[in-house]
Amino acid sequence: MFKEPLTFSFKNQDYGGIFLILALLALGGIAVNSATEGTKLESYSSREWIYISISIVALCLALYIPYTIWIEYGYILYGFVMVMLFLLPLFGKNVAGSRSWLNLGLFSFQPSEIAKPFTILALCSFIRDEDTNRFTLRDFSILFMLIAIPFTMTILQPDFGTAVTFLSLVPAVIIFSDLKLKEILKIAAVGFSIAAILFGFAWFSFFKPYQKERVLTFLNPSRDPQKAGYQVNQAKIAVGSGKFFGKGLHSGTQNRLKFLPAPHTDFIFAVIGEELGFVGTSFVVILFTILLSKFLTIGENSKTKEGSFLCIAAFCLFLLHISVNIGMVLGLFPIMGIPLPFLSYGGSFLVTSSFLSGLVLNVASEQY
Amino acid sequence: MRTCINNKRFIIIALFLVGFTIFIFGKLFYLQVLKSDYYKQEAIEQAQGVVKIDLPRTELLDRNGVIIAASIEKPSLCVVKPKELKDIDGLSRKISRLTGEKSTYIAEKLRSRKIFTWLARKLPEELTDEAEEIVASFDGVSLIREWGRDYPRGIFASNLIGTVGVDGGLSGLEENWESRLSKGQKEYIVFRVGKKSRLYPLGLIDSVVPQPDKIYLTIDEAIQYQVEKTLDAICENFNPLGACAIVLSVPEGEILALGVRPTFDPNKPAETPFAKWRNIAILDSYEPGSTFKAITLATAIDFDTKKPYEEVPVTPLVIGQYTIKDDHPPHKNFYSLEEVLTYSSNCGAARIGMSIPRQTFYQYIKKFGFGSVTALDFKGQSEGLIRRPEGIPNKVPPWSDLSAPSISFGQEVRATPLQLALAYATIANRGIKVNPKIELNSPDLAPERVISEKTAQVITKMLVNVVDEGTGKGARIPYVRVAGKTGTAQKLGKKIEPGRKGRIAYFVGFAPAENPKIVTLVMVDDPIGQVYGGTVSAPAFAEITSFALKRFNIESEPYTKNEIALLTGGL
Repeated sequence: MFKEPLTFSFKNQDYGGIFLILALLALGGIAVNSATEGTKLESYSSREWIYISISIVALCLALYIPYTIWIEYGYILYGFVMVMLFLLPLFGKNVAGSRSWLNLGLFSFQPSEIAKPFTILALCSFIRDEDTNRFTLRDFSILFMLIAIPFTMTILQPDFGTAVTFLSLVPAVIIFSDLKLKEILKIAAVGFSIAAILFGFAWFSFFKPYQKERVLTFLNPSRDPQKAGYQVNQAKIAVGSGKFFGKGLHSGTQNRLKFLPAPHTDFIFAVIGEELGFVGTSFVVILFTILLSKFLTIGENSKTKEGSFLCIAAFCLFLLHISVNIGMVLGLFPIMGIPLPFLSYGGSFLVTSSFLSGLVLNVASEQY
Repeated sequence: MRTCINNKRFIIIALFLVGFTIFIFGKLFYLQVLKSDYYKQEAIEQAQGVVKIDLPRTELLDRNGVIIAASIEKPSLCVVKPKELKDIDGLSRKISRLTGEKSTYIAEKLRSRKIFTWLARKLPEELTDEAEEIVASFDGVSLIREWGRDYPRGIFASNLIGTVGVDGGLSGLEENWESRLSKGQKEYIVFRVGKKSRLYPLGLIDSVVPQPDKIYLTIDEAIQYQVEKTLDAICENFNPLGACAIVLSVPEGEILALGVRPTFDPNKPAETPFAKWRNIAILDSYEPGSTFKAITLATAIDFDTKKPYEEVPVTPLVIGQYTIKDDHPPHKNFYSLEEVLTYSSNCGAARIGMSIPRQTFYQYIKKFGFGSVTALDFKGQSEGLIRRPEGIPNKVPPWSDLSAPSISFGQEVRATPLQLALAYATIANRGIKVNPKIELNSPDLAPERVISEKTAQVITKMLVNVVDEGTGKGARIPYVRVAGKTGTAQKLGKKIEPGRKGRIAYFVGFAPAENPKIVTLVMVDDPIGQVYGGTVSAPAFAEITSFALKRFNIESEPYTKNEIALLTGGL
């Protein structure tokens, strides 16, 4: 059931959405600059601006080529990135004990981040070829397998945080399917059991001591204020001490005096909280909420079911990133290496986030 | 086909998103608004680079607005994260050249501090260029501008004005008025960004006190300058242990000038020992010697135990085993009261003093302001010393038979130079007490009469005669009637240095006599060579007083003896 590809038209673009993404990118550039200026990571700021430029190119690419074409090549792209994931154990660059970087000479990147949108595209391809949303067991198996492969490959790198984000696609599939609530509950029960068994297995086999510590500290924050609890505590102090208007860019003492861990990546939200205050954090949360609700409405109004699923999947993926990252900074989640879309430093995720958002906005353009 | 997604589910997910957003907002509001003070305090407490920077200090101006103590921006050098410095020794040497501090000490400080250290605080303004050079050549060193004191005139009423240190006023008015002059400090977290330090103001614990930008003092810059010059000359000629000069206005009691030797440069206080910062004119008391005779005579005339025209014997006076004699033997056996003052006869003064009931004498002395601190807004003033005639049981002995005669010529009594000047100001003010002022336009106290106007006029006339014909000839000012009294007191109970005579040379008086405007006191503590008030202090008095009169355009008619006789009603 091949469809006529849509042609790009300036008239049909969702400029509100594009502006939203550009605003988040700019804010991210400013925040990373403020977090790294004057530190050893000072060069990261200019690099971040390069990543932002590449992200804008990726965004334009996603907007220009109709999403139906992207989905058309979904399996190929998926297969391509899976090969890269398989190659990682052999050629991957060892960074801090995990092989998640592939060096291409000119630049290096994380295939697991690229895998996020391409896995979604593969899922879309499968859903497009199905006649109904009433998935059979076989359908579910294939869909979940498509998710399980990158998940497993990432967890083996090992990169627990990134791996978890793939799991956000599971509820996306379930929400999208025509399953009845009872059936969803059943699947959820089975899913949680499997998750618990996997977690138990992981706990005793390959969880590193620091990971166990993070979980235990999350369950009981006063357990160890000097190590894992320390980071959460410092993040809270950073955010809280920013008060209503913040201390001003470049003036966050928590960040400057190195109390904040990884201020430019996982804890960028704490930097925003400290330097821009409640005003800044509210602004970020509002931008994200608008973006996510946009994803939802575009998904609801999509003329194709694969377009609709694309939006739901992007929604689930982003929601997981945003909620876990902000939740972590505010002490609501255990510490996990999950970056904040558009704001955290890091080229691969920045580019894929922009690309994925571009795809969703591309779905929107067909609605005009 | 708009049925891609189940509508109910869409609403559930949307609600979930809304719930999530509200929850995050709630948490943010809790952290950044409700509990923000707590977290801010936490952030401050763990950030060790907290510095306090002085705010501009209230400036002190003379009565015409000439700046005496200014508040100017001064460069301070600091380092955040000193351990990251590349050339600690090189930097230490540079700083050492700037401040004079030992370079090894600076290097040690730089190696031991983790977060932050000052290198040099409040450097003189003229070193700004050198400080900036250091900042440019050493990564990590920063220049922070602080507010510091500057005394543009250097040694200038320094013992009165005082000086400041890192923690505020150290002496003089600067110390006394600390709470009036200091606007407090502002606290900052200091941290390093790249090569430069940044300050982040801490709003929570600032202690900014609203203060006026300037306070006008009663000091007159020109008269003060004259006083400093005259005192320098005295020090050069007589090498005394100390000296001071006070110029007061009558009837206001404004301190127009107050100079003290030894003194110090308030811009470089550390170069002079602390003892030389002392304002001896206010904080220390001395035997007033013969200058006190005017008080004795005023009491006797006012209480009417002696008539102004009466004569008293001036032969040596024997009391028990002691004999009171005059330094200069009198040329006759009886002196009029005027002559007792004119020729400064101890024997005459003693007999006059003995004629007054002890209690009355004591009360008059107290009324003149002796034995209690003056109304000046200045802590630590000496009360001086005057014993109660009855003493205080088990503490202070009562007056002996020798007390009244001794007090009569200024022994067994101690007064600060300011108290003495004020007593003469009271005479000049026709018997109404003069209270001292250092701040311009400060309120007057209720007027209080010490002696009758008549008595004051009689004493004034006698004091004019002292300058005209007696021991005070050195204090004459051409064309101006001067009233005044010399004094050459013996310092009691103190070790006298070899080559010194243990005398205090005074001259205190006022002019113009017929309408007094200026009261001047000159005290020289233990001069070498000349020791008498008439030769050491009187010329200095004339120099200062004539300058002050000219400064205020106070003119006086030339006078003759007949005129005075007419003026004072032929006494």
